[in-house]
Amino acid sequence: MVTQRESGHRPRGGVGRQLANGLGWFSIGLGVAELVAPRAMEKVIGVRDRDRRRNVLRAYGMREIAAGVGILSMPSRPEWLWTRVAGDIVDLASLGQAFALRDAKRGRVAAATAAVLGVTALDVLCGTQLSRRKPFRASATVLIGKKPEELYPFWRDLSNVVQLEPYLESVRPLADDRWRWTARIGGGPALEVDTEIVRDQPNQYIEWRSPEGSATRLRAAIRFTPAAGDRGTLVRSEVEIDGPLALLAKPASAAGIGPELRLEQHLRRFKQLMETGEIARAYRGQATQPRPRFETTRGLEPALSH
Amino acid sequence: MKATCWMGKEEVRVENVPDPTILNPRDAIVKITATAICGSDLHLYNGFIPSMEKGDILGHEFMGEVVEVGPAVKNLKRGDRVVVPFPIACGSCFFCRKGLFSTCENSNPNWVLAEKMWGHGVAGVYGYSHLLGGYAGGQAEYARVPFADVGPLKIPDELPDDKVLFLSDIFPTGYMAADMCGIEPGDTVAVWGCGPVGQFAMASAFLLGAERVIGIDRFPERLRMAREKVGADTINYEESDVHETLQDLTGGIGPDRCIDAVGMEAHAPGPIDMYDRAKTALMMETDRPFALRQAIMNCRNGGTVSVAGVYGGFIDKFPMGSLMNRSLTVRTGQAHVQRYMRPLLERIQAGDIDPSFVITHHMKLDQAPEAYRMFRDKQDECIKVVLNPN
Ligand SMILES: NC(=O)c1ccc[n+]([C@@H]2O[C@H](COP(=O)([O-])OP(=O)(O)OC[C@H]3O[C@@H](n4cnc5c(N)ncnc54)[C@H](O)[C@@H]3O)[C@@H](O)[C@H]2O)c1
Ligand SMILES: [Zn+2]
Ligand SMILES: [Zn+2]
Repeated sequence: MVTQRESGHRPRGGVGRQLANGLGWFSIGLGVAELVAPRAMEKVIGVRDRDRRRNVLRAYGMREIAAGVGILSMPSRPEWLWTRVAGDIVDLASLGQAFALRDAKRGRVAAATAAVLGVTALDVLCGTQLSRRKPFRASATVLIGKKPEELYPFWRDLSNVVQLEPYLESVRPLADDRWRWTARIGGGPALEVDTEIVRDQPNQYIEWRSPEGSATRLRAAIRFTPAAGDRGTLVRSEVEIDGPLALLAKPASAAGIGPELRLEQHLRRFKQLMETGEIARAYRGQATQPRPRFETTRGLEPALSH
Repeated sequence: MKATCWMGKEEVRVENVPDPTILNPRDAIVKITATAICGSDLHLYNGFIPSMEKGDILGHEFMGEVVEVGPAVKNLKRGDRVVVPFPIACGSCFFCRKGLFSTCENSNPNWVLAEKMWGHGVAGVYGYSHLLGGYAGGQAEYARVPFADVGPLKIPDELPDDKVLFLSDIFPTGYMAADMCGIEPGDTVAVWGCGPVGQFAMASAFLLGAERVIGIDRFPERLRMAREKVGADTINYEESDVHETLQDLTGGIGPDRCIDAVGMEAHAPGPIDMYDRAKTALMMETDRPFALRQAIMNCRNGGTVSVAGVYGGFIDKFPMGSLMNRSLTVRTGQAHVQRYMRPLLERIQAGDIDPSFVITHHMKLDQAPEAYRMFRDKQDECIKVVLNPN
């Protein structure tokens, strides 16, 4: 079983990108200054020359240059902007220390601190913008001991997928190979998404996505590849979510309970159904009332194991 | 129905719970006639296994009478007597086809949880935490048995429960521990732990051709059972130094095969015990691997260390250098019970062994809380408790 999360940012123009480029060049400029003229920089920030401090400044310079080059050369990775934010925090901490030095020019240090605070705010703003624009992508692969032609038909009729996902209330066919997905989490409101099948290669690949202009943009695909050595079929499931739902997916995924976990669970249940004719369910018959819980590392998916 | 429930660390209670029902086509419901408490249950009782929830039904060693079958179960009918293997296995996945039933891919609804913890998942097991599926256990009046068409073994009427109950776990477990050793003629096999698993490991080592078997423990009644019922030599590790004695007994080369039938809660004399207890208390290791370390250090060059004792997480001070430099082989696993049930039933029928020799106590299901305490604390020379619901 392989589960992957990919950063799926499509580089685009816009304010966020422009700001990022500006910050990238700013990083490089600042870094070069700290590296080649630490003495001048010390004057600017209001501390007097000491060898040790100067080496610290040089190290900060290297860090700035790395962040700047990262931001400019890998526009699809907002992580680089977040390294800038981390650097800002280190700078602020150092300036705080400088404040306490006997030989410090307090006015200068305060001005430098204010400047860094300003830049930090820009960095955070920009990082958030870039991260937000990134659609969420996840995938999972599982080996199933059946031939592709034994597995494909299940997915050709998407209403079957209800069996794999307890939160799915229904998947109903509409006209023209469109399907309406209705999900409900807990007692919450029903969530509806329409998709249309955009690619269908029998026994190999099916892809469906929400039509142009939908608020939540969803793309999903299932791929069947014969496995080596008569072991059956590698079944890979992919999903890409953009729009407001992607904002939910990311933190959930960081907490280890995101869509990639659901995908893997779906594929496992699909495998169980195909290989054994049923989906494993545990009857707990507990003596105590099971309390409602979210999936955590403890007792994962209790809702299913009843 | 009545069922033995885990209510927290060192607390089990017999409670009234809903009767199990058929949930899947390949299920059966078994009315339990005999069930046992296992050393593995003590790890739950003592709070060593994560992902237990208050109210979970315990028990993975049980047998009984089929009272209901799902539509896909063709080989069993009402009234059949069956022993149920503790790993739940589908019988047809990649691992089941290799005979690795306790790692079946299709029986654990919480596979991904186990995968997070161990890198890959394992089979579901009755009454053994949510990591292993969250299935209700068999220390109860009834149990739901998934994959009933491939798991349970039918038992002829003439064999009493006590003779066949342990086919559910500890006899195959002990047998597999000896089997994994790859015993050759002339071999000496040393077994750490003379609990029920250790007893069956020793008896099986003889069945598999060992020349000499040495049991190691500190409880006189367990050592006596090893000598009198199994024919092993014994070492009481509180009275003699294990390494020295094994060196003496093997002319300085060490036992050819060493079996750990103790597991994660090993007792250790001296300061190393304080070390492991402190480390586990600080969550820096989860298991106390004292017997395992000894088994490795004592094994002869090129020998086999077979681990039947259960471990859950991480251990510290693992003698990798000894293992590597001396060409040792380590084999381990939760028992692939389904692989051994039928041949071992035949051994019982042939009179080669009567597994009931380990039983020291019969009690009512209602007495489970008392039985757990007694078995854990080795009171009343308790070695194996069988609970009868009726
Ligand atoms: N692999 C499997 O499939 C499987 C199945 C069943 C049980 N088990 C495991 O096997 C182990 C033994 O089970 P059991 O039912 O016999 O339990 P048990 O608790 O009755 O026996 C354990 C024995 O080990 C002895 N012991 C403790 N520390 C020791 C040491 N340092 N040196 C030598 N002996 C020591 C104890 O005195 C006790 O007699 C447990 O860990 C259990 O979880 C594994
Ligand atoms: Zn057991
Ligand atoms: Zn299987």
